[in-house]
Amino acid sequence: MRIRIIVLLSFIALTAGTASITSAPTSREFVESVSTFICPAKSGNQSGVIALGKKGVKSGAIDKKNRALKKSKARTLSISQKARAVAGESATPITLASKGGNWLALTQCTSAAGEFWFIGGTADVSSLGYFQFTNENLGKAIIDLELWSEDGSEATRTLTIPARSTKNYSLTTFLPGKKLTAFHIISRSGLVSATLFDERRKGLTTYGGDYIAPNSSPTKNLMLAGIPGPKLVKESDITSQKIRLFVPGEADAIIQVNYISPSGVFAPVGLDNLRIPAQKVVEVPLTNLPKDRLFSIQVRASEPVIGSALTRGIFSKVRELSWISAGEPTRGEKIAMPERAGYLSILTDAPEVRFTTSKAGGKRSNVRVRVDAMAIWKVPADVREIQLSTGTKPIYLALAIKDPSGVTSAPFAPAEAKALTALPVVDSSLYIPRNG
Amino acid sequence: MSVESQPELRGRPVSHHRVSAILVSHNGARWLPEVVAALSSQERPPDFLLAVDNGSSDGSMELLRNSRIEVLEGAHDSGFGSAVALAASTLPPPNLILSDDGDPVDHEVEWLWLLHDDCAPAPDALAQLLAAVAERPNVGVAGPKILGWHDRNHLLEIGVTIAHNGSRWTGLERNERDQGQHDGDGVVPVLAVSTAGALIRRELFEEIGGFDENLPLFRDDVDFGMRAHMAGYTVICATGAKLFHAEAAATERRTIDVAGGTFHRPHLLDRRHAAFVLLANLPLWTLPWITLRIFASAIIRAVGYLLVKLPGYALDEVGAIALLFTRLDRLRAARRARRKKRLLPARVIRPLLAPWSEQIKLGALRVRDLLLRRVERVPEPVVGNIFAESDDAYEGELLAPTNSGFWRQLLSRPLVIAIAPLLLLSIIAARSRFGALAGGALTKVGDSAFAYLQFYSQSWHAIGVGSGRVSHPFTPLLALLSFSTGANPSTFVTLFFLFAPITALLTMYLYLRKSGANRWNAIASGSMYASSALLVTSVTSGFLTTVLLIAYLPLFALVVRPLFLQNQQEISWRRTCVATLALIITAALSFQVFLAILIILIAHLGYLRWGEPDPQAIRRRSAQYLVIVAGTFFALAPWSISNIRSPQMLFIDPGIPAPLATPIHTLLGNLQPFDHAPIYVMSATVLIGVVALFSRRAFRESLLILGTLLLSALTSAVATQSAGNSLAEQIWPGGFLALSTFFAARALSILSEGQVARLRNSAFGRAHLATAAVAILTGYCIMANLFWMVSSSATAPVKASSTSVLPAFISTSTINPDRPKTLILRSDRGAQTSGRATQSFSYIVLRERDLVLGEVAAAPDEVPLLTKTVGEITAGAGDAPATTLAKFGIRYLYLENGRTNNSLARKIDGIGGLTRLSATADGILWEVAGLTSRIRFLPDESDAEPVEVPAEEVGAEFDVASGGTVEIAEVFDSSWKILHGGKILTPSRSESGLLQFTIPEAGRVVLFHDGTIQRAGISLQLAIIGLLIFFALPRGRRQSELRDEEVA
Repeated sequence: MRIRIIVLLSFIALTAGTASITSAPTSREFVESVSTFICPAKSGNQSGVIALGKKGVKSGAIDKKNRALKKSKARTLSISQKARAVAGESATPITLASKGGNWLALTQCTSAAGEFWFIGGTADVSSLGYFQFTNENLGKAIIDLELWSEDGSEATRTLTIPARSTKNYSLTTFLPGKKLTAFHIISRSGLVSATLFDERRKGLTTYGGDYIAPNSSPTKNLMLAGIPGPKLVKESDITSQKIRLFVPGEADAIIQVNYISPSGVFAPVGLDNLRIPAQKVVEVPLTNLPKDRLFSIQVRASEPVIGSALTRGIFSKVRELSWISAGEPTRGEKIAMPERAGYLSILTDAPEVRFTTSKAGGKRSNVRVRVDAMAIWKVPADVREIQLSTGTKPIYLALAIKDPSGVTSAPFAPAEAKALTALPVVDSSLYIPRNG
Repeated sequence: MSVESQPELRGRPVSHHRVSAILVSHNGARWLPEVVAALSSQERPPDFLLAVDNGSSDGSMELLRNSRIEVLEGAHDSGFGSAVALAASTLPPPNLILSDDGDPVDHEVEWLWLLHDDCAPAPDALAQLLAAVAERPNVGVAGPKILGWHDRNHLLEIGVTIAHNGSRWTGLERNERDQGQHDGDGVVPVLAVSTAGALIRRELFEEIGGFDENLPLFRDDVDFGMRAHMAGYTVICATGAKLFHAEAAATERRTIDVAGGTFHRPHLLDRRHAAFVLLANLPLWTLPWITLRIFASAIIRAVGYLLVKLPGYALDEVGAIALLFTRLDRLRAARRARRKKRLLPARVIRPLLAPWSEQIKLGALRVRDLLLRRVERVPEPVVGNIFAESDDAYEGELLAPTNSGFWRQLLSRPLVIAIAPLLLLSIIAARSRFGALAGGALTKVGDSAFAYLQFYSQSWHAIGVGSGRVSHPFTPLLALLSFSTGANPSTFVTLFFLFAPITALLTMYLYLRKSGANRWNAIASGSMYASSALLVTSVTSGFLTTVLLIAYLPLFALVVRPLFLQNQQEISWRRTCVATLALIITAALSFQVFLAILIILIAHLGYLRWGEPDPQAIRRRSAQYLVIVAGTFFALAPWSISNIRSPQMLFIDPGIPAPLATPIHTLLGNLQPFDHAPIYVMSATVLIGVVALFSRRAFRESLLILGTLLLSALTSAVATQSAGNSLAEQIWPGGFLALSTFFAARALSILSEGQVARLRNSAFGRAHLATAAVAILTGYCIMANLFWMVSSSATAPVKASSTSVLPAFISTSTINPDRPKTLILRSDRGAQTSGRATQSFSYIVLRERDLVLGEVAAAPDEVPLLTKTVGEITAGAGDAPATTLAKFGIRYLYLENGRTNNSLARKIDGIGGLTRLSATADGILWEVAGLTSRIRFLPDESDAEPVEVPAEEVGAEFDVASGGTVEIAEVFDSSWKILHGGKILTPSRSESGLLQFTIPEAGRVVLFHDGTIQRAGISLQLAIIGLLIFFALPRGRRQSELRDEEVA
């Protein structure tokens, strides 16, 4: 009996001991791949800056010389005739441009990608808008530009962007005479960065201008954060506010619009059961708008849609327009600030949002903002970078700025410059057909 | 002159027949007394009795004379025919028959009744023969039914003929009993009858010149029958006449002294005469075909005799043909003589030759007899057909009315009760596995056994970036097994997965019944084995070797069981070889079992040493175990030898590595491969092991259960890198788990035997509790596992699949002489890492088709440069990844599930040198720019462009116009060689780690992979297996070694 008990105990001990000697299967090695941000070049006699957030960020103009990126000596760089590549390790840079007394425009710098959706701009007689494509790589890029207007689908254009170059295309060359435009850019070869700028002028009267940020991919739940309201500028007269929508699928979409503001969430009458025809770009006037400084819109649709909001009016005696595109929730990346006072729209279901700000001298402070669907945080002029702490609830951000040249508001899309990817491995499971 | 031409001779009464009996004797004193007695007791005695003694030295002549038989003396080396001719020449002419008027109207019909000194006719034999011929005037020869001398129910002959290959053909089964089944209406027309007891019309005998002098012994009867037919007579066997024949010469009961009886070898004489008879009598135009058959038959039979270790007979086979063809003059003379005397063409005898189908059937029966009848028997507790009911049951059946309910009886049998539902559940469970299978650990299975065998023999495998890895021995085993399904391994795997539970149940049942378990007990333990968690998870997860092993282990145990029997002190070497062969198969399925058996053998040797005082017996047993272990290891060469430096590779399953649960899950018998099987799927192995530990009867089994479980846990705790993978994965302990499951089933059987009676007769205690626990858990496991097996079919990793990894259009475009490759890239959204969802990338390289099971186990190792290049592609960065791909001969890059990998596709679009060719829902295809052929030639001229060179699958042969460099898109291996200008060139390693050769001048280039080492390994393997088979086969017995009762 003693032997039997010894055998049993030995068995138990040794089997349990295997847990301690287990050599775990090797896991994949992950690397963080970093691409660069591309900040747009200026067009015409506009001026502006690229806010980097701090000194020493590597950047370089995109041209044929293909020089190595150099560390900047300042926190901001002037925009030039050439687009600028900014090292991806830094905070997401933003570009603030203006044309004296005519308009103010703000946009995030983006990394090159193979696909973009844009909805906004016009190609009628008043349009001075343009597309700017930048190819920072050493090989040429070929892209297909799919076009839609209020009349439906238009002929797709194929464009070749030479290596290390930036090319501007007027919107009127693509869709002459069309008022409502939407674009889908697909790379056939190579990656590009795309910027859409809408500027309007009729005779000697300017109607303002603004960057139109890339839209989120077609989705059934659009979030447009940070639309200027009547209280953003004291002396303002908002002449029209519209939401432009496009259904890229084959079926019409039924949409419901909700207004979200610090005052609360409500569904305006008349916007709760709208049919949006497929394959046509439409604009829906917004009525009964909230009276807040900034507000947001949520569009729930039965089919995937893209959308943006256009605000037109007179702000401090300047005719101006502002585009807010549907954005994606932030992922907690660091965002450079333009070092101007502004208003940060925070749209989330979370009751509270925390973020860190960096100010002059590297001083960091934590900010806690209570949110009831939407909050507006007044951004001090000395804030150079902010970084949100993300939770389980998605957070949508937009920054609005005003100055004598005009007003602008831009959503903060998640930065795509950093990606955590696994090193590839040889895996014999690939010998099995995927659906086998 | 035939009887047909003399109508006046028809229908003579028996009284007008005169019989002259001729008894030929040669050293037949052993049988003669009975022969003489039989002759003297004939109801119708012969009219004359004359004996011829051919120089007997055993007193035969004296014996005959003492019996008052007239004896003529022949030479000691004269044959049977000569003796008969001598006697016939001394016989008086037939008497005249007078009419009532006293005028001679006819003469008597005289018959020669030929008798051997070892044949005894039944008392009515002659009367029956005469009665048969009396009403059949065209009969030239009549013979009796010949029965055995010692076993008088043993039917030896009812006439005889010859097969096209010269075999003597009686149309009877071996040891067939005489029950009158061939008697017909008393007369059977045949080609010939044996000379023993043959009644030959004297007229015919003299007309065709008696027996051929070239055939002094053996086959003279067949020859005579053929010639009788060609002379217009018929030959019959009168089945009413019986004769008992010892066949002393044919069964080597006496030596052969006839002239030409070279080396006194009856077998040689028989074979030579057989060929002679065929070649001398059959039509001329058939001779080439007959000659070919005689040669082929001689070689096949010689090989067969060698296999059963009868080299003398093998030599006889070859020698007989050689001797015959050295004397073709005799053959020509014999054919001339027959041509002169025949009345009918030779084709009349062809219908009487042995039919083909019967020959094949007889051959199969003989092989069966050889293997089964002579296999070495060990004492078995159960005899008879173990799948059948007991003899008592049969007796009951015989007594029962015939309409007593066949189905009720059938369905009340335990085996049927177990198999029927299991079969039904297996079919339902396999509803998504009807077709070519793939998934889990199982890659697609090839559809040609020959392709598998060819792959196994190759020293270089044209798969991926090229592999010199030795194939797993499971590959040829699968090929051989698939011959059961028409050499289609894919069909075999599908069917085997379908019937795996049934097969496991049957083999386990067989084993347990052979081990002495009763039927219900064997069914219960077999059901537990067939529904074990290991089997059902192995089937659904695609562990083919484990499934095969589970089905095979009971058979293996049957073979090796005698080694461990208590009363089996001495094991024959033949049994050792059989055990080695069985272990080779087991180790080819799982080397883990080999390790376990090694441990068990060592332990058993220690046990024997402890209890066995005879050191010689221990030494013998040690040597036998060494043969088993070493023989198995070297029989798995070259695979086993090539992995000596990395022994962990021996224990890896040849399928796709599977993610497994923690080693502690081995206690449940369910390691949850591919995270598929839920926790409630389990086996009662541990509980049975623990209960058995505290039992006297199954203590040994408990040690084996717990030991193999421990080895399972240890094995699954080890992670290692298998072929074709970058990452290390846990080792699948299928072999150890199968062993533990097998031992658990055996222990359950032992514990259950008589347990109910024991429990009834004892007070309630822990035995009752333990029994209840084992019974409940075993019952639960059977039901839960079968339920899961049936319900999980749709979600199981293994499914029937008709798709391929490499799309057909790529496959078509890569079957070119330039043999480009395709890189398959897969991107998966991986787990959250550092709070972010990450993408993971994996890749493989394919040539013109998917890899199949067996090939995957020989897949090449990861090439770091290629992985780095793929990394650059997935990152959308790098200097020139397309250039590197081209160097590896990769022409296409295929991204699976292109639509869901849009961002990656965009990145690849942005890489220079990669041009998108197509995009479908299945994947996106890019073409790599530049020269992507398997072989390129770079001329020495500075401005010359590299050119692509056509290649075979492995080697190549081409001309070069100048000196230069041959670059081959295969990973470097020093066994690659080039033959150029009569010289062998050796390769160098390029910067990319690929092969390259420097060609000094223009000329023919022959590229090949030197597979000498591989061939040596396979030769060693074949030699060992061949020797083992040779020694494992039963040794044949010479005729002289057979007992009298066996031969006649």
